[in-house]
Amino acid sequence: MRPFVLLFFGVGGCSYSLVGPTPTLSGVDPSLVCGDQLTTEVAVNGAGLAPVVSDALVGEALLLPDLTLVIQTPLGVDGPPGTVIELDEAPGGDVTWASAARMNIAVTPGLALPQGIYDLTVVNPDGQEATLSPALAVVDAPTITSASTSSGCATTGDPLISVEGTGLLVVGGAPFTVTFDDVPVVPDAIGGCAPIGFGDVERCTSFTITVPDIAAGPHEVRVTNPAPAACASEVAPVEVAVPAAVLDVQPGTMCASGGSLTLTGTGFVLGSIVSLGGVDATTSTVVDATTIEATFSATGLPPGLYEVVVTSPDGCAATAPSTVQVDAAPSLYDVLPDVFYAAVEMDATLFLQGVTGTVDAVWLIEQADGTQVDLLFDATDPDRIVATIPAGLDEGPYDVFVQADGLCPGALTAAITVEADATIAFSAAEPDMVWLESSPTIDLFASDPAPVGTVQFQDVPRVWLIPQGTTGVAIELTGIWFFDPTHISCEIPPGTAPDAYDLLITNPDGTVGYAAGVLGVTVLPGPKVSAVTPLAVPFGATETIVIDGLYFRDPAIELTCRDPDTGTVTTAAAGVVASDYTSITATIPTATTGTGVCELKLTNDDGTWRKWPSIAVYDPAQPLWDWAAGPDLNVARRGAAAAIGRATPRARFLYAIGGDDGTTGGALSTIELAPIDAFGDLGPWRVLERELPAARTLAGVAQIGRFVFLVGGDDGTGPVDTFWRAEVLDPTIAPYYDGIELAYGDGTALTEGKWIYKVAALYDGTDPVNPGGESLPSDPFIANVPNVAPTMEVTITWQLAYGAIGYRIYRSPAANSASGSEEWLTDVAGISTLSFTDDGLTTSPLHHPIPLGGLGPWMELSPLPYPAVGPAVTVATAPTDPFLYYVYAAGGYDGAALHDEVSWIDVTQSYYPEFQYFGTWTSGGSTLPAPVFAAGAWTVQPPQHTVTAPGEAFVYFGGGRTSATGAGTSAAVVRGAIQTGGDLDALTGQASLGAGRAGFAVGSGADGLYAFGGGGGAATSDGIGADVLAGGSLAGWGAHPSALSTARLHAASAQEAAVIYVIGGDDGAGATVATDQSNL
Amino acid sequence: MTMFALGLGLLAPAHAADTTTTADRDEEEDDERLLAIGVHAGPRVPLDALGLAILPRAEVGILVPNLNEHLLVFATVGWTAPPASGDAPDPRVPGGSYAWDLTLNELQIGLGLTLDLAPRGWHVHPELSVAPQLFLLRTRADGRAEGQPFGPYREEWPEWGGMAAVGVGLDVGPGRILVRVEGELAPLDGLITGAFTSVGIAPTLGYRFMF
Repeated sequence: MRPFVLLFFGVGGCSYSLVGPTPTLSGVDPSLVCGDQLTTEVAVNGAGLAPVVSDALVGEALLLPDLTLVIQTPLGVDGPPGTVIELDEAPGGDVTWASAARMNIAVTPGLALPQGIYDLTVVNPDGQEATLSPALAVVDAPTITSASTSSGCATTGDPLISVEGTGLLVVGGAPFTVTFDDVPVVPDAIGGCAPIGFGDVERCTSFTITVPDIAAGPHEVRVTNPAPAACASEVAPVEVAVPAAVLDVQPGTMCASGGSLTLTGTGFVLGSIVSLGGVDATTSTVVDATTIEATFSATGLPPGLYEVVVTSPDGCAATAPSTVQVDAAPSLYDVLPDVFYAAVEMDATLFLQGVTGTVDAVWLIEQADGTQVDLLFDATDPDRIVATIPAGLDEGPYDVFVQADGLCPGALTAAITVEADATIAFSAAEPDMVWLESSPTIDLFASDPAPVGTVQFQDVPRVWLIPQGTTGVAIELTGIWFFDPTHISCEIPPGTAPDAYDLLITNPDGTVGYAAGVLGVTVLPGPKVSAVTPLAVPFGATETIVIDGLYFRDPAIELTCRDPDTGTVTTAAAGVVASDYTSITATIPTATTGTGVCELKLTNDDGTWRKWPSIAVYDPAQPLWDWAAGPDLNVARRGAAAAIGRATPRARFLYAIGGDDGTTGGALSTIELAPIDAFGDLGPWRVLERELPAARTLAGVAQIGRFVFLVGGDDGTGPVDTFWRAEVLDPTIAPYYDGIELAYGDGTALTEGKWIYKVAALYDGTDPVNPGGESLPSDPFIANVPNVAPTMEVTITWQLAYGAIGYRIYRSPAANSASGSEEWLTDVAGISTLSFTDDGLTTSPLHHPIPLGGLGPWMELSPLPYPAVGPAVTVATAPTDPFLYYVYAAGGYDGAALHDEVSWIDVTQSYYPEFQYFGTWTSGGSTLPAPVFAAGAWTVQPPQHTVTAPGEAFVYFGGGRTSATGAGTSAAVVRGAIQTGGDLDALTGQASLGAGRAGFAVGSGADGLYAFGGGGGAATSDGIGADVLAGGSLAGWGAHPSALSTARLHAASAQEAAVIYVIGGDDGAGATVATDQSNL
Repeated sequence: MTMFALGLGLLAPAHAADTTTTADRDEEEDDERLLAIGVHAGPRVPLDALGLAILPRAEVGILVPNLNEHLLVFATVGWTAPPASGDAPDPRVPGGSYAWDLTLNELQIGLGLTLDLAPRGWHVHPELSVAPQLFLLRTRADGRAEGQPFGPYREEWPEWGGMAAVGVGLDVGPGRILVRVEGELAPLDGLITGAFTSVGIAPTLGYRFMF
């Protein structure tokens, strides 16, 4: 009954209430228990823990305070946080009462408390409660999940027993206790420990114990956690193996190259491994508990007596009572080539070490079926046996064996592979006829795309020539240069006999290419072209050209011409009017070739041939083709210098040198180059590692022979008077391959695989050509290091490079690195040091080999008469001496004033292309009409121009800025004839440019002069041209119908044969990366 | 009024002491009293598990007019506090048993009727009273086991019950001396006490003023 509210008189309540003592909790003891323990009485301490009598008048019952556990942090997989465990306060339940200050909880397995950290709440019968957080941690009994002997065994030392488990407690630094066969042992190490987050308690997962003098058989290990959670694990079994015993080993001798041993004894178990002198057997076959058969391949052991040991999977080792004598065998460490084409007979070179007497036999064992193939061999050099691999072998891998000195045979497993199918899509070799004494380079090409079922070249293939007219050794070609999967080049070794040759190519993956009769080696040299004049002829009639060079023998000439506009390629034969050993006069049927850029191919009567790029057939009605945009520079450049370099007659490059970012203060020192193909198209630009000695912009540029000259300019701080020269490095004077050797060594880094070496010559700082520089690198030395122990050393040998004071060695940074990834390995000093042994040095990325087309160091020559920004520079051959050149520089700004002087320096070219001699700069009596800078300069003389008579040479200057700071420009053009000694006669006015023009690109050829961009001294895309008349006068300038792809000011220009290139400049918004090209 | 005075009033013969005339009595009877206030006390003899206790009671009432004081409507308040104690075995406490004691405080509040059964003119008045009562209850309890006290609990709650009484009154002075026997009954349901019916008999002696 609960009536509504009435008055309260002090002796009774109008509503129900029950009020008793207020409970508090101060702690539990113990606070860590094992839930799996039989019974743990946990005291709950506090105050006001008050039971109350109920139903006192009708049969008593006692109500105890309620105790509740709530999981705060789980320690196991059961019982998420918040799980409530109501304890049973009923008689016979989980709780008893001792006093108002203490109650007890009986923790038993039946309570099934999940592992965790618990909060405890007490609620008196009147509802008052108190909570203790955290109050109690409950853990399970420890378990042992595995126990094994990880090392040692019953009779060898003290076995180390490793135990893995869960719930292994360390409480207050006191670890769990361990018994082994009920005997307490102290763990050596305890692992996997982590705090549980309650008190100073950790749980661990592993430990090791060492039990001395353990007997073989079953044992038991048990773990007991420390009090108060003193639960014990179940007993875990540990099996200690019965040790094996080796009673006998037969035979008592074995070859170092390998062999078989039979071990008899007791206790052999599956998985046991036999070792000889610490070298594991290739196979260890446990026949039964008393017999093991072991086979060894090459052990690498020196001759001597060695122990035989059997090691069981649990680590028990048993040593045989007797030793085995290892006899010496020749060490066969490499076989080259390692891939053979089944259709042809080829020689293989076997590389050995340790042969001291006679080679007795060489044979193959086919791995597929064990068939033995005895080989013919030549052991003149016992360390380099040449064995003939016959045609017709089955496809697949073969082991190679060599027996020498009547002793054990040396063997190399899977040394060669025979391939029955030629699947490399080889398409052509260029040239296909070479001179035996030229050590020429040939280019090999693969079809692109490769036909179905075939592959292209892989990085890096190996190439052999197989002579058709004579039997004998296949000749491996050196210097394999992997350009891309469709193109490789390689060197024909000196001394290659005149013959027709088949070609064998093997890729790293073992695929093979084979082509019959693709190369001829001739007794006489092929034609060599040094000059073609003129470089451009008009379309319409049959035009005559003169080809100068060497080794011309009744040649035939073929032209391959491409129309730049349409891409149409036309082939036509040129008529040979006359020829001798050094000169050819030929006629070009331009009506047949059509207009375009043509490559010449000269073929001697013995089939040797050579190509020459390029001459142009132009339309007289439009001397220049429309401009076509070329590939962008890597760096935007204004005021750069452009030049052409021929590393070889066919390897031509366009350089962009220095320049600035749009202001002279941002002058650049970097250089880029782009390759030029046979028809004049540019390949991608590449920034060279070697830069200018200092930044230069708005400098003049000239080319003479293999050298590029940089005249004046601004270094970013102001005008300079420097005159620099750099060589287009010649690949033919790079160090030449002379051999590569592999030998056992003590190196550590030359792991199995392909290692590529290159060698460059180093030159003294006083060298007249390449001062303090280095040459282009040699062709690659490729070492295929086999997988043998100990590691191999590689020795490379090269031929003397004239003038070198040392050599720089490059090598791939790791085995099987891609071609072109070579880095600096080391330098070797001394002109007579021509070999280097690599035992595993580490490479450095500080230097890389100079690429083809790279420039040598910039050498400082006689300075200009005055510092000059924007000089008008051109170069001309002395009218009476083809080996004497003049470099002219006119005008320029010295930082304070503009100049009108015309200065020149004479350069004498030696018969040897790398040598030149210099005069000093001289200012002549003639001057420009007005002081200017950023003017243009042109040269008109044969053979580029046909209107000039032999002995005539004219230099023209035009345009330019008439104020250092203002916008004034000049349209005036003047001309001077070159006099003996280089001075110009009085400069005479010519037809003006029509409008002021400054900072413009120039071109000269086909009896015309050209100027592009820079109109009015601003960025423009227009162009103008003027015909050169007989006597050197200019007809009027007319507009060119085609515009540059980009407006330009201070663009650079260069001309290679009939192709004009314009690069960079200021497009009105700043420096640009754009390039253009056109053809005469 | 003192107890001595009450005793004199009770012992006096009704007629010998009456010196008034019939006319006077008629006049008195015509002059009926309207209010009654009385007190009673006596031991409460339990007929349940509770112990013996004193039961004092007070009442105040109105004599219903024109009924010659035969019907009294009254309100009453009584109080008693019977004790109880015991012991019981329990394995959960020290010693395996515990002892307990309690006191049940009862405040009884009622509203009832008393019917005077005496004929007109009598000085002895047999009467019968009944009243439903509200019992406002408070239990104070404690316990101990092996000397360890549980801690005191106090439980409070109300219950409904009833009271009936028979007695006789003797006119003395301005009122009557009353001798009564009360019986009280209430079904109680406390946590501590349990559910039981409280039954007790209380012989009381008292005096009722009438105005």
